Amino acid sequence: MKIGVEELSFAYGREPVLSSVSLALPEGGITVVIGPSGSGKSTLLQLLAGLLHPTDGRILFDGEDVTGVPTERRDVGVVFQSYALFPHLTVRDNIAFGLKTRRRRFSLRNSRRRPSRHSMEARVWDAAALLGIERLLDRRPAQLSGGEQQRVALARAVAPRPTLLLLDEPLSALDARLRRTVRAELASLLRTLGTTVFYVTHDQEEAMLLADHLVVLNEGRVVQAGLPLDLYRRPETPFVASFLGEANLVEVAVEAADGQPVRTPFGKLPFPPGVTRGWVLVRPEDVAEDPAGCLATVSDCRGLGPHDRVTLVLDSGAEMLAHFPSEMAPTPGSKVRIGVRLRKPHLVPDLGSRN
Amino acid sequence: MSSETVRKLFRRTGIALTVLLALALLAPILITAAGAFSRAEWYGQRSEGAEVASTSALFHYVIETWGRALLRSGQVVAAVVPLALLIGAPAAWAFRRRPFPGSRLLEAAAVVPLAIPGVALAFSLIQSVHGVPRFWLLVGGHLAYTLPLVVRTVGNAVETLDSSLESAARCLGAGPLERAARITVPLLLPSLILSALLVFAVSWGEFNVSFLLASPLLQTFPAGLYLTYTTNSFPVAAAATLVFLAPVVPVLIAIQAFGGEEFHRGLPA
Repeated sequence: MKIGVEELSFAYGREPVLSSVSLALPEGGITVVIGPSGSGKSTLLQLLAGLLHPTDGRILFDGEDVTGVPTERRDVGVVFQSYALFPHLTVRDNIAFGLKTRRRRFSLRNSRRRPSRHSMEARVWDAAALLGIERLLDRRPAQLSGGEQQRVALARAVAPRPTLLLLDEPLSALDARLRRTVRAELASLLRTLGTTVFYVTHDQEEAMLLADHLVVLNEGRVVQAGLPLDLYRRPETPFVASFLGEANLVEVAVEAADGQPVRTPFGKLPFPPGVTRGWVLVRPEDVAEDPAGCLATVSDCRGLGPHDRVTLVLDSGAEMLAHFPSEMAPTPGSKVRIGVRLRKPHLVPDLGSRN
Repeated sequence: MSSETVRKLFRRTGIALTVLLALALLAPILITAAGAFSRAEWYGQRSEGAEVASTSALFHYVIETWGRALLRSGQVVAAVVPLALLIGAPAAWAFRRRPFPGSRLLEAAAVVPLAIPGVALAFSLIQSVHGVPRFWLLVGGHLAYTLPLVVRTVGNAVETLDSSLESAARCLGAGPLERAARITVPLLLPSLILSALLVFAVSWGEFNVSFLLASPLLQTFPAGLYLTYTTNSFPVAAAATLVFLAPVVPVLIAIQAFGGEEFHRGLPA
């Protein structure tokens, strides 16, 4: 089912939270929305769920305008940040909740969507098996660990087989180690389900790992959307460049641009007509020691485990961040020669206020 | 003195003070109980019911005289408790979950009747409301005093209830009634029971409003109690008091049992 939003806006009083956001969620794929806190990403999720009502714009499910349809008839599954498991119900009853409401809702109509009592039990079991929580079915949420609660929340959301699955920072309440394991499981689980997924996070690694389609949100606007690696390698704005991972933005300026590629120290770069300033994106992993390179002073060096994070000061005074192989980094104060390896230099044009 | 002895001293003083306080609170009840089981002639012969001799006859006399008042009190409580919950609990929920301009003010205003003397409230009710049977006027007066308790107790419980639970139920397809029945009410149950008990205790013992609003021929029991103290001998009045206390004591014990923190948080400031 095709799901999308058109020119969606939302405001708390006069405070705009989202400003005409348009998106199309790839069918059966995972759309990850990433942005700093206050960027409006959770608001967007709540609008899709129908828990909030837009001040303007439309929400379309399969071409049908559902903007005015209340949450309970929207057929969405939501995993909340706090999980929101019903504390007075067992895991079994938590998972069955959405199936029971459907059973009641379709009780008057002789609908094929009305699950039978037998199939309801089977579906609770299926959902539990999918997440490996069969042995927890008779427990209550208070008797579960954080990771188990997270699974129950997911099982509850997917059991009724919703059209759209919404996840609001579902891993943020887990500790770092657990988050990594669950993240990998979640990725394969969501792909198995084949449901259209809308996933909100502020974690860049999570976003890169899960997304089929990545949307970067800032101050209530979509800054850029596309394939995750595309956004990482070819950001359109300095914000996207520095929000998705660490970035060195090396300024390049030309005298004139007429839409033709212009020669720069990084090779020929496509300056848009009228734009004479921009940045070449150099990721820290693109910087390496190079005997033929330029001279830089090491000002700081931190071992992060997989690699060392080195801050360098060039002779021009510019700072540059580099990742050196673990325990290979020079000591602070020493001088090194560095070079930049870019297969295809990417220019982030300076478009003024639009950044 | 070592710190250990000081601590012991403090603890003993604390226990002694608690016992004294409990005794001071219990003393009137104990004296009343003693009165009910004593002989009428100790208190003079000239009041009504003084001829009653044995204890069982005393209680028999009280029930016979005040049976109708007891029944009326029972009726009032039976109307006030469900009404207070049906009006107060949804209002408390709405104040927290669907705040509208001025809802905070309205919630604060709901407590005001507690500070108005019953006499004033009763007279204003009589003056302003016409054509309403006395019974319902009486129920109205009691609601003015009991609704604040419900709004406060339930309101505090709603405050501590994670609102995402209700959102989760919505996303799982539950409409408003289903959410209330399967999520909100079950989770608020301790506070609902607690406020029902509070309403019962207050309504059962309410005197001021009842005395003025009830028709002189059909009083509620606390108003009757007042009359026994003015017209009957002390043993009769004492026996009536014990009859009055009989349903209150289990309720107070239940409040303690349910109470704990919720009870304390639930009390109006």
